[in-house]
Amino acid sequence: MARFAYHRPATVDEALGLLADLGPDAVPVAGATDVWVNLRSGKLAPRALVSLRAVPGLAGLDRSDDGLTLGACATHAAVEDDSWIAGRLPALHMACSQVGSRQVRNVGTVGGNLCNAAPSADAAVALLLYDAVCRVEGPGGGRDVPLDGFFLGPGRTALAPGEILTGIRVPVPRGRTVAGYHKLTRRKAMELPILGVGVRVTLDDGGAVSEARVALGVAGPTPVRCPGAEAALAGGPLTAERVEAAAETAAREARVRDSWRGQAWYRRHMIRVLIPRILLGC
Amino acid sequence: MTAYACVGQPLPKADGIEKITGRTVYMHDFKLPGMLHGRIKFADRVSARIVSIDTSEAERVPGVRAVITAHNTPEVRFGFLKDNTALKKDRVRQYRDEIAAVAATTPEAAEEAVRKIRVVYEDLPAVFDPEEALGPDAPLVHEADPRGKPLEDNRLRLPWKVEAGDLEQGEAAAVHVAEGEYDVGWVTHCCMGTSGCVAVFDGRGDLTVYSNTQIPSLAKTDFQEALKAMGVRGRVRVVNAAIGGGFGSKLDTYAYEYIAILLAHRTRRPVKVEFDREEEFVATSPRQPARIRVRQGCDADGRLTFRHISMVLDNGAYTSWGATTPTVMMMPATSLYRVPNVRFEATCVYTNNTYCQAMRGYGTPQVTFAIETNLDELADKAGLDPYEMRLRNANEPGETTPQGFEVTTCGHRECLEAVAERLDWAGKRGQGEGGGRKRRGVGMACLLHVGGGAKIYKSDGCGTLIKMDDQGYVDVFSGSMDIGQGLDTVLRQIVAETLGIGTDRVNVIVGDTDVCPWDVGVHASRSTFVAGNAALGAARMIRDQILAFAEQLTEAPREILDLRDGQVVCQEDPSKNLPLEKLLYKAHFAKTGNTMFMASHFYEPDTRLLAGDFKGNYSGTYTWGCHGVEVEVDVDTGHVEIVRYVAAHDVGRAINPLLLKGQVYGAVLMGIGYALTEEMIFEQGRLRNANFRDYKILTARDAVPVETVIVETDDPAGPFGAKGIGEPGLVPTAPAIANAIYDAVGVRLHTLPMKPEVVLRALLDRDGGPGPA
Ligand SMILES: Cc1cc2nc3c(=O)[nH]c(=O)nc-3n(C[C@H](O)[C@H](O)[C@H](O)COP(=O)(O)OP(=O)(O)OC[C@H]3O[C@@H](n4cnc5c(N)ncnc54)[C@H](O)[C@@H]3O)c2cc1C
Repeated sequence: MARFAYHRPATVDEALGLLADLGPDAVPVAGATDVWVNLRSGKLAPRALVSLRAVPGLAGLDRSDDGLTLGACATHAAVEDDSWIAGRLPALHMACSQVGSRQVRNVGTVGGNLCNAAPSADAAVALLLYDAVCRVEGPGGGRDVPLDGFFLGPGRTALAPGEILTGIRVPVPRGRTVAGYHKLTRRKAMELPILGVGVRVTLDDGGAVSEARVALGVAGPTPVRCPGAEAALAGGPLTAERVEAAAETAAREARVRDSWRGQAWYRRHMIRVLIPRILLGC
Repeated sequence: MTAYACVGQPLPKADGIEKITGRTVYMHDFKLPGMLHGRIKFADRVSARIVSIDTSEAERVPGVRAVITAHNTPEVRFGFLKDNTALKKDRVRQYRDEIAAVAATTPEAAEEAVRKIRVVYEDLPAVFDPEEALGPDAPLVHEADPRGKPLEDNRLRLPWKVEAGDLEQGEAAAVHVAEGEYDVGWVTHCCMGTSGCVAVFDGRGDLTVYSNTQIPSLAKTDFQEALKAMGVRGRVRVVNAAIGGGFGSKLDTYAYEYIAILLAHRTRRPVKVEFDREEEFVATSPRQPARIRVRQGCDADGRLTFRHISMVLDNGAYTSWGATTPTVMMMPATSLYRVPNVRFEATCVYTNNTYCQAMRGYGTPQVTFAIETNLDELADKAGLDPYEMRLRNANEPGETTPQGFEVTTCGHRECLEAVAERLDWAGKRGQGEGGGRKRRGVGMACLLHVGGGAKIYKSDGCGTLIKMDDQGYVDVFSGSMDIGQGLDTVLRQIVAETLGIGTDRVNVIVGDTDVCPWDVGVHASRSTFVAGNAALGAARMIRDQILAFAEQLTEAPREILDLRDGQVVCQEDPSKNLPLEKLLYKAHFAKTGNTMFMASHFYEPDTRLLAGDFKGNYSGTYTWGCHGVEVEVDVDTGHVEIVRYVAAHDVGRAINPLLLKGQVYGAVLMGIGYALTEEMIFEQGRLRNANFRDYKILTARDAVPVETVIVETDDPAGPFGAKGIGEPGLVPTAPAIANAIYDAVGVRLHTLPMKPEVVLRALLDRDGGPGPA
């Protein structure tokens, strides 16, 4: 492993300044659970790491009636331990609670999970269900990027060089909501998903689906939403037929692949099985 | 059975506190002054001619002290057939072939230098499927044998075949026959401590290898041979660090050890070679894959009339102990259940895959999966409850099996009955095929394993020396090795029991060939039995010496004297009782005839090396067992949950029930991994999943409670009646689960692991569900 300098800026501005000065040789880092693996394997050989963990406020959870604002450095464990989130954003809670092991969750951050932009990122799939918005700060100022447009490809995000993610705003759905995240794995811990399936439906007062979100992990080059399946769910009551149709559409639309980690037919078939399981409990 | 003071007690492991407080010195902690770090350049081809190796850039890396290749070092051959060399000269046969090695002052420098070694290869045709490798046009993995004699095909010249009774007659007598092909792939040991060693030469040219081998004495012989090949005249000492898991992975010497020796010799400095996790996956040798055909039949009453097993094993590119596992697979093949007419034949084939080695069970997990799954299928054909089928054919005490095993004690039937009762077999079997998405089922499978050593080497013995000081402390020098299984605790109990003292008075020293006597190694579940008997023999001699001295001192006849609670006890006249310490003091510091007590014993089990026909009694006793499992299968996802697990073993006698259960818990979890989750994924000879993210060893969260049943049959040959139990706990796990899956959802699975997609595919195929496209 190559040698590198390690910086611990105390403010966002200081972090941005360091990243600007050091240029492409510097890599921002939060829990380092992805970064360290890449350093060890030689995939990453930066001259400097800029840690965001000492920046006050970046690790906070801010709850309000409108929703949750997660600091980029909030850990998966912090989400797992939060009953407010478990009650209002259950799919996010399920996803974060299943990352790696408790040890990994103690240091791994939700922001890191998004910025790493793996197709398998658990928290990313769940956050897509809630229309999360990323707060980005950079040398030219701040901007909001909807999570839906954040992932550009495997390991690639909308962050420009020198920009960092500072927070994630997650609105709480208004109205009766059913949501869940199913992580398909062979073991009960220390697993990347073979497939991640997230679904949310929010119902209006008449019991019709007013808002539907379907998101998948490991079913394409990035965590993705399935617009076709969402359309199939929306508009009427949450019936078994509607759910089956949405599951079928999601399975058909998914860009699943054959790999030695899992075969395409299996992933596709499981989309068909898991969407009804999440929504109808069967 | 007799009750004892130390034997039978659930004593915690003697080394437990040191280990959990981090004080134990493993190879990773071990350093010598001036030590260099060695690192190996592995081939990144699977089959190729080595055109050139350029080390010039590597040599210029600061801190590098030596770069070696086959071109600047003597050839060191090793392995069961001596078909492997420490460094490869002109030919690559598997992707883990060692091309060059570096010694440097830091691990980083060594790593950088290895990266800078340039090799030019010319790719050659390769073959990965053993059956293809047997074909007439298959590329040859080895063009010649180690002596230079040309080879015509990839078949190893190993005569693994045994036959007893009359197979044709057995076929004719059969009313029901089941036949099937079973496919099992690679799995690996996943030792928590990765492999490594430190080699150092002293000024006289004597070599010490600090190692974590399971075979100190045989490793010493191997390294001595290497010195000869190197033209070095010194002698060899093997000293073990604490071992972070063996499971068979350290049963042979590896190229990295010879490379450490070559580097140490070249640099005149101690050299450490230590694998990182990826290297551990890549460059150690796994359990080998097999394609196994089973055909067996029974009469109208369900009594077995014949069994025919043939198999092809993927040896990989070189030959280690893996190629000899058929000698142990023969055992359940011929002798698990009473089958009068049997034939077993195995063919090992060279391929360009990784070469294979021993792993817990030594072939029996593979063959037992085939036999026990097939037996359930046969029971089905005969219309019999598989439990009833097993009872009807269960082995009995006193029988001689067709392969010539002399069964003494045998708790096979008791194990079966215990499992059926605990699992509520009668109440639970056949309930699964109802509605619902989650269906439950029960399954069972049995095992037969060597329980008293296994004479697959010219000697199956173990030596032990014991000395006692004048305060009653005892040092036991055993040739065997503690690899985490608890041998040192068990030896303490055996010696303490024999001498009537507390286990805290007994110290066990293992793993130093300069100090400890010879032993063939920690394998075949043999250490409690063989090393236990060796220690028992030596301890008895000391006991005799003490009692003889006590007879003079007390003037009481020997027959009424005993050693108990740290005293010489006179059964008829307690006033003559004498604290042991007093006696020892008197013996040592007597006016005349001063003496201290010490003894040595070499124990060789009364067994026979398998002759040309592979028949004869090769173990001092045999271990029996039955596992039963209740599973819940999710018919929509193919997931299999273990609901209950019962493991019953005839262990002769539990010297330490706590450690024994530990062996069974660990083994069952390893077995569940083999059954449901673990696989090394090779594509074109390259391992894809060389890490714990993608290699699915079970985690703590996946652990299931295991109910252990200890059946004690008090074996006459075992130390205090004990048989071996190191391996058996994983042998029948996979077939028990496969049989339970069948009971739950009615599909038969013939491949491992039975991962969700495999179960689901089988269900979809049966029910005409969507195809794999
Ligand atoms: C053993 C193990 C198990 C794992 N299991 C799972 C799992 O089950 N599911 C899963 O989804 N992931 C898993 N991971 C991956 C990883 O833990 C998660 O992706 C985690 O959320 C990453 O967070 P981190 O803080 O450690 O990120 P880091 O490693 O610190 O960073 C990851 C990437 O994001 C960038 N980055 C981090 N923070 C910022 C920021 N604020 N602004 C800009 N860029 C930033 C870094 O430069 C880097 O490119 C596992 C990893 C390990 C080692």
